[in-house]
Amino acid sequence: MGTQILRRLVALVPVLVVVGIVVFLLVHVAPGDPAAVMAGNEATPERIAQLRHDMGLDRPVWEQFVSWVSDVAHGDLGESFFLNQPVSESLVQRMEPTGLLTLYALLFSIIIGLPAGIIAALKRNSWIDRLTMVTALGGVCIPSFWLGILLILSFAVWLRVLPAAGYVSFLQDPLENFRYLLMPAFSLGLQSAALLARVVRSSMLEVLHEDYVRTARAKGLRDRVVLVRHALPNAMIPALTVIGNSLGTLLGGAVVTEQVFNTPGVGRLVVVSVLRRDFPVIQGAVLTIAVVYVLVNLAVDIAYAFADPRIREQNR
Amino acid sequence: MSLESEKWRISRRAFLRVAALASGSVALSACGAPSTPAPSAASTPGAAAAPAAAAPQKGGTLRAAIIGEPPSLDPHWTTANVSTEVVCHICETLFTLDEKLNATPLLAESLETSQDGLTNTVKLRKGIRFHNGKEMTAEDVEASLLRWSKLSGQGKMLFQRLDSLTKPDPYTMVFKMKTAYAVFDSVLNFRSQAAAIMPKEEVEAATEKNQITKPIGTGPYKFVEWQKDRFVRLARFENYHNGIGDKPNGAGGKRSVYLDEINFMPVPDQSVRVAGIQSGDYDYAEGINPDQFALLKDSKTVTTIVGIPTKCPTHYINKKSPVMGDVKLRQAMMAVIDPGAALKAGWGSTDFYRVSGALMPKEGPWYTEVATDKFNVKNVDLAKQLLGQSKYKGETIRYLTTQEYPNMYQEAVVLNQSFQALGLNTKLEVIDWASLISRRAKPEEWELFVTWNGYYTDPSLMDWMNPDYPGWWSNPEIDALRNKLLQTTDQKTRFAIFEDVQRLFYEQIPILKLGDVRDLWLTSPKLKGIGTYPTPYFWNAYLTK
Repeated sequence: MGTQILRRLVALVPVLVVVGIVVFLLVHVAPGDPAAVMAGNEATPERIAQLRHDMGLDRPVWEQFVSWVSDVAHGDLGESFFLNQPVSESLVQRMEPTGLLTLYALLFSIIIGLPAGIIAALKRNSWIDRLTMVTALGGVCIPSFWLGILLILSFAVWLRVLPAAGYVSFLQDPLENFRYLLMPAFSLGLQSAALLARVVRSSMLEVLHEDYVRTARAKGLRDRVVLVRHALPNAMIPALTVIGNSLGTLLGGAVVTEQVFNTPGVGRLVVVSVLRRDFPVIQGAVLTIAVVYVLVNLAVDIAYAFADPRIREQNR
Repeated sequence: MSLESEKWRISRRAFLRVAALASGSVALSACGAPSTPAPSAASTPGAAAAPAAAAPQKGGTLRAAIIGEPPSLDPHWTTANVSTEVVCHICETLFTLDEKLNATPLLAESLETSQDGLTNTVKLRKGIRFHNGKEMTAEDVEASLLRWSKLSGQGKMLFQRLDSLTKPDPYTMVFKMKTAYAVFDSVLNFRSQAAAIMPKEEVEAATEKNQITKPIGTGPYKFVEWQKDRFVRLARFENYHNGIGDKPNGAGGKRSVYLDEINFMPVPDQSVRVAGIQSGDYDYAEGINPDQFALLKDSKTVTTIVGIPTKCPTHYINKKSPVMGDVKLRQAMMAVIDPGAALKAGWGSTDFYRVSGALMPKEGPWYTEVATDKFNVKNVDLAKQLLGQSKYKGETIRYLTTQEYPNMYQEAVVLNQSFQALGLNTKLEVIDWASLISRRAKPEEWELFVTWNGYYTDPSLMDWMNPDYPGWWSNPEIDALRNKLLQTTDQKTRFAIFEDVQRLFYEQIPILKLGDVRDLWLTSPKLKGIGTYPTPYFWNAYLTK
């Protein structure tokens, strides 16, 4: 297991090299001048040139690349043009909203998706099953930004029970923090919940037909014991895949959700940085997101191993 | 040309506002819109008017949703509007804009210009305190202006013409000019990249190399905290000088400070800004597309405020381009376009736009209709005839626009149809704003681009008059007129020169100007007294319970 983790961590290096080169080139090849954005609509060409010089943008691209790579290799992601602060600092400040948003969305999807899938499987072909699956189908189809807008209209504009947009730090007020993230997390998590419900249902159905479940029933075990002790753990492996995959999807989806709810997270930082051509931030954020993505996948794989003894055996 | 000569329609509500001003009851509330026929004032419940409302009260935090993160809070650093509108509450200038869009003193007490226009004597107000407690003197003004002159284009131009700057006493400054400079007070009242006055120690420590991140000024609100991409927090300055006189006059006159705090929050998405006002999360939202007006004007939870029409949508022509350098081609373009159709597409209702070929707005002292018979002619035959006289051979005309500002995009789509109907090979290139502003700086990369220009107190300061602004209107005729306009101090003569500029404009068609437009802002009904000369500010504003 240990060597497996180590091997995966080493494999991270080429991923980062490729991501780094691609993002640097994309950012520098695309048109748009950060100095012109900084200086504003009515700035003189002279002023823009001066800012370009101060930002080091008048150096050849290869020179900029070399100095960026050497900084990154030393753990320095550089200084944001626009925010006038280190990139690492601006990323750290935005980790909390994005992290909590993803976490809450994941919890939502588990809390909603898991029971819904189990109930639908147990009540197969009943109206409960059909209603759950149709709702799940809807859930998969509804884009999260649209759901977000509907939620804002309903709960913020009409009912005025939840804030429309914004953020309060968890450290400042955990309850307020939850109120601000409730709608974003729900709109982000619903899609995963729907997916999870469908997967759990089908895998439960499969498991319920297995011999060992029949044996357990034949032994005279109560339904609940059969379900919780014998069926559920085996049905959970595919569910775990979905949950693991959806963590990545949720992190990506957070970009859109953070826009809709004006949540000051990493996703929104990337979007606004692209619009204002804040090269160091775009580069730093993409690199960081790549690292997080790979680590999350690694964590999911490790979780598999714990859930499924077969995988653990393979890796030995 | 004076304002009195204009035909002013005064609505009943506007009249009530004026009455309120006279009685001094809620003088502040009148700042929302001047006595122009502002459509919103008549249709919104709590808009600027409501003279019967309770007296302004101190307290409360204003939550303002602005369109993006300010690139800087250093007033000398950037021309970005989103910075200006925050910083203008912290730092002030020697002059500002009055109700009639003329320069009026703010930190200065008076300006005297000698007969020959070569000596400008500025007397400073006494007892003005900075947020750090220090009193403002000529030392601070000199240091601030020096730094500004190194960073701002206008500052540079002023200082190039400056022969000497002396300070006979701490409250007097004498600017001896090499040549007369008629726009002396106008450049000193610029809001964008303003000649803001800060303490000498602060500006000298920063120099022009470093950005000031915690600005200290003399303004009604002092800087407290800036969390990037989250908020800029300002708090009431208890020792504020409260402006001049006993009632507000545009952005000048009396300035009262009622709010405890202002939180400027960047909210880039318009739908979030609107929803946030409706849900009560924000008290103010800007950058609202006029198509929202019909939906919101009767809302009980939202007050709509419509600005004065001092912004003009402009489509710049690249005079350095081999294709567009051809005057006949530009004249053909002017003859074929339908400015009304383009403005309607971009701005929806005439509540928000007016078709006008005059280069300066009706609301100010520079309005003239001379030569505007060449505007809005919509004559395809004439256009074809002019095109026939040009050297145009079907070369590609790259027309840059952006969907980041929907009005700009819509206008360009409509104008582009007219150009193509005329047989021009125009190619609309829809790119993001950051790309547009970097491409327009390079003459080889475009033929046309769309933007809008704000209002300045003097026509010689307008962007299209600037020979260095993308589009580059520079040739012996306009250069001579520009210099004459800058060096003549007699107002009557200057007006005549400006009429010549407008005549030349319609001969040479340096840009396509379509008309004047108004901005739309939303506020919570609780927010009163917001000023809009010519963009919003919150001195005099207060929150009701």
